[in-house]
Amino acid sequence: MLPEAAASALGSLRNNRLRSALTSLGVMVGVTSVVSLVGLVTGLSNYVGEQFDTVVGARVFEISRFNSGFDDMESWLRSRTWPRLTADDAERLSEMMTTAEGVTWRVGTSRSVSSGGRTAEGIWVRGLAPTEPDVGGTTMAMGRFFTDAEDGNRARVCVLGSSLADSLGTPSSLVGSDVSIGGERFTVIGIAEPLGSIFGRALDDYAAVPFSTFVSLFATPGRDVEIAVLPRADVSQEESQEEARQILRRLRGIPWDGEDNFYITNQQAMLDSMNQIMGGAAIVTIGIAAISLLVGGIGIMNIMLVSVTERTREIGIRRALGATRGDIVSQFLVESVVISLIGGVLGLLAGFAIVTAADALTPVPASASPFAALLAIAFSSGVGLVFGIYPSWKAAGLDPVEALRYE
Amino acid sequence: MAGPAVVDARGIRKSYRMGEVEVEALRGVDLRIDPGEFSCIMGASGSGKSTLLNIVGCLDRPSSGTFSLMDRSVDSMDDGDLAEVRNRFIGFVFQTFNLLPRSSALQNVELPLVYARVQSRERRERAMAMLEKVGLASRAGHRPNQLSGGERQRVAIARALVTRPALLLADEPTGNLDSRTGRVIMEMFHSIHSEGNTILLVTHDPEIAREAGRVVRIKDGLIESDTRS
Repeated sequence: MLPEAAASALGSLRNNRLRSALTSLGVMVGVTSVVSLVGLVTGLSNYVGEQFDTVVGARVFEISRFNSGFDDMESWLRSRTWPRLTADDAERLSEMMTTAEGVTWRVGTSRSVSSGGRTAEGIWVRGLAPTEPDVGGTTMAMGRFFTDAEDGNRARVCVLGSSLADSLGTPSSLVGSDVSIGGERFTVIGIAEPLGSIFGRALDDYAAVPFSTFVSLFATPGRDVEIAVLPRADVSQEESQEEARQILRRLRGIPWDGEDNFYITNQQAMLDSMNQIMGGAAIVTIGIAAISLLVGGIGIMNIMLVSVTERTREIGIRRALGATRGDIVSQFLVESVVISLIGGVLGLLAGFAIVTAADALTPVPASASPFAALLAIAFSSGVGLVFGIYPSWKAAGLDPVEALRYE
Repeated sequence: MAGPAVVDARGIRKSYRMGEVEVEALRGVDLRIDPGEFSCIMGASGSGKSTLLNIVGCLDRPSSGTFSLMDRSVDSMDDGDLAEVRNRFIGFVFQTFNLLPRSSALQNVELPLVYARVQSRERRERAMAMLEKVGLASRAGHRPNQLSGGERQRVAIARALVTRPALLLADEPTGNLDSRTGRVIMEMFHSIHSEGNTILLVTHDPEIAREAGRVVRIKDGLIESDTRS
């Protein structure tokens, strides 16, 4: 019975080529958007995970006054009423913590940097403690990082990020030469190994100077710093975080029942909050895709209703020749599923094409999974089935005598 | 009469609601048709002959009365059983042929066998044999609009006979044909009858009615006369 129904469905689709094509197109658009969005969102979320893996040391946690994540206005305003987190806090933490392999602190601002005749605008100038390489894992491509002594006497020395060095001249000839940072003269003592990029933004367009030099030249004393802590290898991150938290609460005079007036974040927390955003985005985009699939389904239902009306007499003839209601239902259901499946397969191909193009043209490693393919086929045949039920039921319910008399 | 009756209808009434008005199309009809009979129902339009044909063909149910086909009571059958009865025991030939326009002659003849769940090879062979019998084997691949009116009706006859039904029902089978083609179709009915088939033919044409062995005249929902020649 099913092969006959399928053959009859294909025949009827061939007889209304344009109409069937347009109806399939509706489903195709829906499936295309589902497949490509699932592929893109999955790719994006993998990408985010990879970025965090490469850039942030997995065990390092960071302490700051403002939430580095994605927060609301209200908590930002509350952060502003809290006491600043200073280099003193960081140094005390470094002295008192027993679970830390290293503690470092950072500030930053934007300045132009020039060397010879070349100027790079809007460069991220970082004030770093000499402990930065121990915690942040900075390694040098050439030259060296600055020392405690240089930080202590506010030496005018700097380390350049690799891409800044590239844009200012030949990196090897830069080491030992002078550059101007925000109008102040510095000697280049080293060039860092490239970090790469995160979300397409270069991470190597920076100039790093000793923390105290930065404070004396570019910032008011006592300004906020970001503290980064690397736990010892033999303690857990949670244990170390808790120790840092307790020390800071004591330093900042928080009563036992008071709330922290600082934030501690780690890679996992950032990843979690990122994933939360990605999850929300995924639900929204896939919801939109589902709506277009719904519209496609309504298109199918509409066409199937027209088809049932047009073929009333055919239904009457089939009933007279012995077709049961079930035969009529399966005939129209198969037809509706076939239209929908054709759209689904085309949509799958189009979705794969979009995902492949996105993979090739953007840094996002989008990939169409077999899961997406399965989803597309299941969705499109599901749409055909669901939206075919009512028209088929209507066709089967026709009175044979009336249907035979229909002009 | 020997053997079971093909059709045994007793006290058949049928009424319709047409808006507010109740219309009685049949008002107590008894009809018995024995195997091998070539009968003809005659009546003006609105006489109730089409309603009777629909009931005999199990396309419709009477409002009251009992109806049996081949000794099987149809009264308490559900829709699916009726479909099976139509498929196995009845062959329909219509005035307007009622072929599926987008299917070939062969596919049209195969259709009742599809619903009888006959396997595709056997279906094809039986349909082809039937087309040969009505002289249209060479037209098997043609669609109805590529066939003449007479050819279409012959395809329809082949379709009606392919399941070897107990009763062949024909509703004005020559009504849409010119008289020469109509003659050919009538000859075909005679030859089908001579092979032992039972035929019930509806017409308003006395010329046609005269060819049948039995004429049942209907008027205002009642049998007016029933004559065998």
